[in-house]
Amino acid sequence: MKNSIKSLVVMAIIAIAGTTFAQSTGNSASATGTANATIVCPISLTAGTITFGTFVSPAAATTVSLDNAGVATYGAGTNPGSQGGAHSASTWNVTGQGGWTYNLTDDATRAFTISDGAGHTMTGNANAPSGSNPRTLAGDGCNGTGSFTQGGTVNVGAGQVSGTYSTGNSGGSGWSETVTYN
Amino acid sequence: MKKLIKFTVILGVMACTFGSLLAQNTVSKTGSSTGTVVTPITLTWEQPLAFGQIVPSNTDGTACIGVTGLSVPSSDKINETPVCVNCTALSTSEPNAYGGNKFPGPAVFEVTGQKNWHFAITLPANTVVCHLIDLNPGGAPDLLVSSFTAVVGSPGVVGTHGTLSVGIGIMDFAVGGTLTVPANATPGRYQGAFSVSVNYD
Repeated sequence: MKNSIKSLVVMAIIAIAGTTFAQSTGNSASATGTANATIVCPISLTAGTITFGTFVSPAAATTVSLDNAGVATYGAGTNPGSQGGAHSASTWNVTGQGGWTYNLTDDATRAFTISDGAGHTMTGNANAPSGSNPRTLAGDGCNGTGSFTQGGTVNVGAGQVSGTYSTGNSGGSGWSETVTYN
Repeated sequence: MKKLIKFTVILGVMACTFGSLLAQNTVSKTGSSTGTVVTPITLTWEQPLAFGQIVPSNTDGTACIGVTGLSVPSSDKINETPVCVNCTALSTSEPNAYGGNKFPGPAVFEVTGQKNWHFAITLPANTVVCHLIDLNPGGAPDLLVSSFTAVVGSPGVVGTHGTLSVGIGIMDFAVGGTLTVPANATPGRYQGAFSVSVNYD
């Protein structure tokens, strides 16, 4: 009986305390969270140009090719000898976040058409770009750089009309390469 | 004499009445009281609101971490790539020169308290923004976070009310928001703080 009385007394005290507590700070709470974001340097790509140089109009349709180092292979009847002038593979430049990696993608055919702007054209395909994915931008901060080269093959028709052909002329078209951060 | 007898009778009645009233003064009653103890509500921040790695464009944009469709299992982490307008959110991780979070996702908070009691969440008002500070030398204009929204529990319920129905009285909720991404924003890591509170309702 004595124990029973003690228990009752304790319970009464708790009840009072509980009532008081619920009406004070115990019924609300707050916390501070953080928000964060990292703004990264945009990745950019500057297109290159395959320069096939000057070659001779052949009697039969053939091709002129440049490998990714710019070394030319002339089809029959097109070799200009020492008078062909400069030829080179294209060099594409990438800038972005130094140390980051990116992938290079395209439509796999990399088809182009070069035109003299007067209705005469030659079709061709750029090579698969040098290097392989994933690629890394060298350097720090926003000064990261990368590059790749691309040769290609142009189809030269029999008796191809002489002139200066370019993707930039009317009737010409280029191909696309795309760089994307991983 | 007849009048005297009448008077005595009246006095006798009055005496009996007074005697009865005096006897009631010795009665006692026992009062009683009741009370219920409830567990105080607490709120713990578990995971930041992380927008991850954003590539800005040359036009003002926004990056939004939404909460619709999310579930928030207790003590779980949530990864979610923000939806960018006029910017690009990178969904995969890269070594980050600025030390930002690898994985974007909403903030997660945990509420504890009395089992099955319900509570209300108070988020930063839409008109209140969270200033994010560039931690890089040289500084940069602040970015802002606004339009905070919450989703409670699993399956998630979008809103600002929940019930402590998990375990001994637990419920987690996630908080999303929208980050402004100014045109050509200065690269770097941005961070800021925002306050959330809960109360029994």
